[in-house]
Amino acid sequence: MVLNIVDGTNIERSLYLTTQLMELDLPVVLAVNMADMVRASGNTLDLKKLSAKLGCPVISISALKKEGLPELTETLKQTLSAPRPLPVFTPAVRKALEQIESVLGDIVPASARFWYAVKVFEKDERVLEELNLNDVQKKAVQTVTDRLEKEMDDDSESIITTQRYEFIEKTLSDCFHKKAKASDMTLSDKIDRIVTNRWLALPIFILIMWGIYTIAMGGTVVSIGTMGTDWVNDVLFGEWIPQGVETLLTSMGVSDVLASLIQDGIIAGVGAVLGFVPQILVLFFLLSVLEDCGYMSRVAFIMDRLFRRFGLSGKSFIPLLVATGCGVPGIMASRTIEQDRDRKMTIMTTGFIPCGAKMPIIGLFAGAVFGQSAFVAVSAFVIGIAAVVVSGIMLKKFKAFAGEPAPFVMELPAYHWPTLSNLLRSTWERGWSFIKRAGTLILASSIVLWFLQSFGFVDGGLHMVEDNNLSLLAAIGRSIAWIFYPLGWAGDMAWKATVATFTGLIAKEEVVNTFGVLYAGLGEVSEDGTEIWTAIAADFSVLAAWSFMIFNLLFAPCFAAMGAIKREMNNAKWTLAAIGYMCVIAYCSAMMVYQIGGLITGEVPFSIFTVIALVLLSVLLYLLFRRGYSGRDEVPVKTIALEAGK
Amino acid sequence: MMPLSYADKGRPMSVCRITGPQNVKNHLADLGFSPQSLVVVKQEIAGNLIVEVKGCRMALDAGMARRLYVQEVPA
Repeated sequence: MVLNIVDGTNIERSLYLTTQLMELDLPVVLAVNMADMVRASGNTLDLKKLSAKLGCPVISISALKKEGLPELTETLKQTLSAPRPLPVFTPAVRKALEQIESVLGDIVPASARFWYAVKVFEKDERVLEELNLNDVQKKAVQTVTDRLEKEMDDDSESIITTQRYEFIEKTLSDCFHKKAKASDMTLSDKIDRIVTNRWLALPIFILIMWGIYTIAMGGTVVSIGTMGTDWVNDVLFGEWIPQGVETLLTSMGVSDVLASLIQDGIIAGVGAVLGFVPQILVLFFLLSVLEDCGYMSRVAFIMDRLFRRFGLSGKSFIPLLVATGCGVPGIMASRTIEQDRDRKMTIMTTGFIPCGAKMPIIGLFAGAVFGQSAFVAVSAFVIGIAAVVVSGIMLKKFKAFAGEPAPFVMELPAYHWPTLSNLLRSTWERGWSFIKRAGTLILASSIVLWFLQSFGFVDGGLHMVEDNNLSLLAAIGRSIAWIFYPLGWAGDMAWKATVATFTGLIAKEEVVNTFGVLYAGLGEVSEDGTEIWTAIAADFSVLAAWSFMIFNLLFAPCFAAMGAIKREMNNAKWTLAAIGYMCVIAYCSAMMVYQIGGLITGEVPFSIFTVIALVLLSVLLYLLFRRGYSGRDEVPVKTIALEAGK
Repeated sequence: MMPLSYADKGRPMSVCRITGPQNVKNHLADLGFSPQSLVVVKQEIAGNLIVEVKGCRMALDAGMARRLYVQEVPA
C-alpha cells in the first residue's frame, strides 16, 4: 500500500508523482496535505470527485493543525485493492506501451509490467541497465519508440511528461477551483520583491544575521544567549555545582585523588562545554525561524551566484551558516545537497568555519597577545571563509570534484509563520548533537586528561604530581612537539601548544582550558582565560600566536564533528580524505604564515623551512590557477525540440 | 522564441523547448516546466531567476534559465 501525501497548495504539480504511483499496481491512498493553507487561499478541491476520477481514497489533512488524521488512519486500516489503470496516455501512446509490454513479457513480473514499459519507453537508464535486454528486444523497443517519437515530433520522455500533466489538468479541471489567477501578487510575492531585490537582498541578509548574532552571542542587553552562558559558567558551574559537590565529597570523606578527579577533571571539563549551550540553542532557534518561515531558501538563492564562482552552489551556504554555531549540525545540514560531489566538498570545507567553541581560542589570543583587538576575531572569520573559497577553487580542479556545481533549481515555499513545536524540535535536534558530546566524549576525555596531567613518573614510580612540567601529559607533549617546530612552536611553549592542540580534538573549548591548567594550574579559567594572559604573552610571540591560531582554526575538527563527517560521507576513504585534507591545509597555512611572515618582519631567520614554505606557497598558487580537469565528466549536450502547440 | 533569461518580469510566457542533458531536462519537466506550461518571471538577481510555474515559486540559476526557451502567450 502506498500513502501518497501531496501538497494541497500545489496540487497540480504534486499529482505528477501520483500518476506514476498509480502504475505500480499497489493500493494508493491520497492524502492532500495543508488543508488549512488551501482554505486560506480560497481555493476549493472537490475530494469526492477527485477520488472518483482517480479511483483511490482521497483525504484532506493538515499535518500542521492535526486535521483529518483519524480519518486517514481509518482509511489506511481498510483493505484496499489496487486502482484500475488511469487513462493518462493517448491511444497512440498506450498502443506503443502495450507493444513494449509484450516485448518485455516474462522478464518482469506481470503486475509491474506496465510500469517497466513506461520506463523503457522513456529510456530510463537505470531500468534499462537492470533489465539488460538482448539485442532483439532492444531493437523491437527501439522501433516502437522511434516510430512514435517521429509521429509526435517529440522525444519519448517529454511525450510521457506532457501527457501526465495534460491528464492532471483535465482531471482537476472540474474538481479544483482556483480563486486567484496565477500571476496575481500574493503576500509572498510582495515580500520576495523586497528581500530578493537585486540591491536590497544582501544588505537585508547581513542585517538579519547581525541581529541574530547579537541576540545569540553578542554583549548587549538583548543578548539572551550570552546571558544564559554567563549564568551557566559563573553561577551554575562557577558556584552551585562545585560548591555543592565539594560539600558532598567532604561529608562523604572521599579521598583527595577522587575529589580532584571529580572536581578538576569531570566538572571542569564537562562544564566548559555545557557553558556554550545557551548561546548555541538561541542561535539554532533563530536559524530555525529563518528556515521555517521560508527565508532560508531565499538566502540559498541569493548566495548561489556568489558561491558558484568557487565551485559550490547556494545550497552549501546553509551548512556553513549553521557551522558558525557548531560544526556537527552544520555538517549534518549538508544532507540537503543532492549532488554527491557538491555535498562532499561542503562537508570538507564546513569545518573551516570558526564554530562557537573556537571563539574562546580567538578571545584568548586577542586578549593576551593582540591587545584585545577586534580585528583578530574578524581575521579568524576571514581565514575560515578564505579557506572555504580556496578549497572550493582548488578541489574543483581535481578529477573527483570536476564539473559544474549542480544546477540550482529549488522550490521557494510561500512565507508562513513558523510553529513553535517545529522550531523547538529542530532547535533541539541540532542542539542535542552539541550537548551529547558533554556526556560522552568529553566526560571520558576529561577523565583521561585529568589523569595524564595529575600523574607523572617521579622517583622511579607513578605518582600524583603538583608540578605540571613533570606530568605524563608534559612528557607526551615534549616527545611530539618537534612536529610543530616549523610552525614556530618552540621553546617552553612548544609542548603546551602541542598538548592544547590535541586536547582540542576532544572539543575546541579544551584548548583554552588546557592552557589554563598548564599555565596556572587552575581547575578552570574564565571563557577567554583572562587569568593567564600575561603568562601567554610572555611565551608566544605575535607570529607564533598567529600560527597557533590559524593551525587550530583549520585543523581537524573535534571528535564529534569527525563523527558527523564519517556519518555524512558514509565512506571510510572519504572521511579520511576530508580530515587529512584539513590537517594538511592547517599545517601548510600556519607554516607559510610563520615562515614567510617571519622573514618579512625579520623575526624568523632564513632557513630550510623558509624554502619549504615558499615551495608550499607556489604549489598552492599552482593548484589555484592551473587548468582544471575536464574530460569524461562533460555530459554530451543534446538539443531536442519540444515544439508546443501545433 | 527566446531563453527565459530575457523574458520580461511579470509577463506570462509559455515553455516551448528545453535544451541540455537528458537528466537536466527530466528534472525540469518533473518540477513542472513541461511544454506549454505558463511561466512568469517574478524576480531576477544577476541572471538567477525566481519564477512562478504551476502555481509554485521556483528559484532557477542563470544556467537553467538559458536552457528554457519560451514564447509570448498570444493575448
